[in-house]
Amino acid sequence: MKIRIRLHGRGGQGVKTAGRIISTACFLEGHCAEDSPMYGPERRGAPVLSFVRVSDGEPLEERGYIEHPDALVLLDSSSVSRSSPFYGLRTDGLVIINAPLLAPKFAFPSVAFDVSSAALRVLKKDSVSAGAAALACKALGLTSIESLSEAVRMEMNEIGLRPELIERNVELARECFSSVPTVKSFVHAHDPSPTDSNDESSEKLVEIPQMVGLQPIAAIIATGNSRLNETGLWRLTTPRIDYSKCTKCIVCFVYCPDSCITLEPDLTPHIQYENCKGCMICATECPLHAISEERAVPA
Amino acid sequence: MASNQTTIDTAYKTMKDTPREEYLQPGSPLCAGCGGEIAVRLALKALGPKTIVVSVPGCFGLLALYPYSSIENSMLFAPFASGPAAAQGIVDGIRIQVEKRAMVDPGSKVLVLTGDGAAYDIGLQATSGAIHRGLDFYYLCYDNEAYGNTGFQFSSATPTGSSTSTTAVTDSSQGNSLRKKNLFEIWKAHNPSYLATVAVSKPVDMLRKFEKASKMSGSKLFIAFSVCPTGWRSEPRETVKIDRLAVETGVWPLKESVNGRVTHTYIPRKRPPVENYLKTQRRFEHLFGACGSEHTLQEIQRDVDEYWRSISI
Ligand SMILES: Cc1ncc(C[n+]2csc(CCOP(=O)(O)OP(=O)(O)O)c2C)c(N)n1
Ligand code: SF4
Ligand SMILES: [Mg+2]
Repeated sequence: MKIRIRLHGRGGQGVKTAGRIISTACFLEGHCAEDSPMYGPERRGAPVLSFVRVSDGEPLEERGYIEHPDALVLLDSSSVSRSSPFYGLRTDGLVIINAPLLAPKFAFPSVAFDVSSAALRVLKKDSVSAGAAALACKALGLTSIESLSEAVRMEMNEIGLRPELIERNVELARECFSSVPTVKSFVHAHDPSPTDSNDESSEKLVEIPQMVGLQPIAAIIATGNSRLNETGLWRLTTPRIDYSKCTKCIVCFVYCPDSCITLEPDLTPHIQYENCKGCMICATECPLHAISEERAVPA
Repeated sequence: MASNQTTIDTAYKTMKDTPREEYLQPGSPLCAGCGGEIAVRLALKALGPKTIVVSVPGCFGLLALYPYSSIENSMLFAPFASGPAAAQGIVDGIRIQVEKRAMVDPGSKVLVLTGDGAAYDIGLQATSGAIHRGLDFYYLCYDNEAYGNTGFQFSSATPTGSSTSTTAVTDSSQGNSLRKKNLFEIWKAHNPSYLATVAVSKPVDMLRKFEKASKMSGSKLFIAFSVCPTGWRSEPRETVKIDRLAVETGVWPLKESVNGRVTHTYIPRKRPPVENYLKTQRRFEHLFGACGSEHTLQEIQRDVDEYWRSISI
């Protein structure tokens, strides 16, 4: 049997690392496993994907993007609103999400846990890759807690984390693992469904289909139209101006990398939230500390 | 016009004089907190709407990424090593059209916009040729001190001690063991009409330099200190703060060369220890703590001290 997992999140959140941890844990458990991130012009904060395939011994001969996953791992709730991550999910598919509030709204069975809050407590930052990987390993019945812990150590070491931070990630993974049920059992899961007849593995020559939403490169004849690209969805934190403190010194306007702060004729600044990426340079630089920070995405 | 030596002929006296027009539009695919993006935004404000941008592979090539473009100006995407050659083509093309009376002189400024990989390494010879020929163009190198777009590999602009994906920290290696190439001196040896280093934490200095250059003809070259939160593993919110620390610790001197005469446009009098700057970035984290490298730290400080001594201010 084979299981295909697609992970969704944002650049910098650990989508690739989460995929690696799942696949390494599966490998240590004795399964065949393979993972790959989506390559493209993705950036910190931009939507990114990674893919994991696991089998109980059958060779994994398919490559490339996973169009029909058995499970989705969503690293935060923003990936739901921004990019409809459910496309291609099999009818009996499982949604694993770091956001307990959203889960009941899905048309698919789901497993949810607030990994972000646990990460903020254990790691002192919203770094969710180990926790999200743990949810997947447990919910899909893929690995033991030992294989998972070892995989977290190996992968976190690989990306150069300090030993004490690695151990805290292991702690986070173990907490997440223990907090969710196993809803699919790897050995029995996924009876062959009609879609399996044109299963991606049925042919040796693998075609990589074009993914929904990705665009080819070509000439652009409209200049300065990137406002249409709603980079405001990247935000993890939102800057808010307290106008009672603002002295209209325009420091925020000068330093905004993305031209997202506009000035009224009397120099009152306004933040344009459709595109503000939430870098928070304005808040750091404001000499009056008139710009405060709000967490943009409720976990 | 300057009436005496203390009055400077400039439209930029304080930050409040920063032009309101935006040529870089919101929604670019660059990382949140990208320092180089601030540099490009300010440069375009100073150069204005008639600027034609030539970009090459690198993060800022993505300023035009189908179906979006973040730049109001026209933009041509050239091969990695060929930015200045493409600029020559545009300049010549316009000149010939004007000579043939096929168009009225549009008064364009051609700006080559590349990273350090292109400027310090692969595009060095094309730039050398263009400056040597006295090409009337602008070159803005946003120096994020590595090949950022492809995953932060070492370039000849990478400073001593920085870890990159190709200068890893191991038991026997403390990151990059080589020194940063001195592109300012290399470019200067070609006798460009104008050459400057800039940093976004000094926006008035930066705007003035572009203003000054745009009154001159010939090759006008800029190297912009460009904090890269993704590659430098720094906090996006600290980009301008880190930039300021680089200037104040003396790591990034602000200077210009007008027809070969070099002046420092800002002199950091106090120069706090370079550690204050290095500690803001996890690419240098191995230099600190129990198994840190005192030796590398001293070497970095010594180089900075030596620089400021050598210019004898
Ligand atoms: C001739 C050639 N070699 C290699 C590449 C791959 N490549 C694309 S962007 C890039 C990195 C550019 O580094 P830099 O100029 O410093 O700009 P940055 O990415 O840091 O913005 C490389 C190596 C290419 N596009 N063309
Ligand atoms: S990788 Fe660095 S230089 Fe490139 S867009 Fe991101 S922050 Fe800017
Ligand atoms: Mg670079």
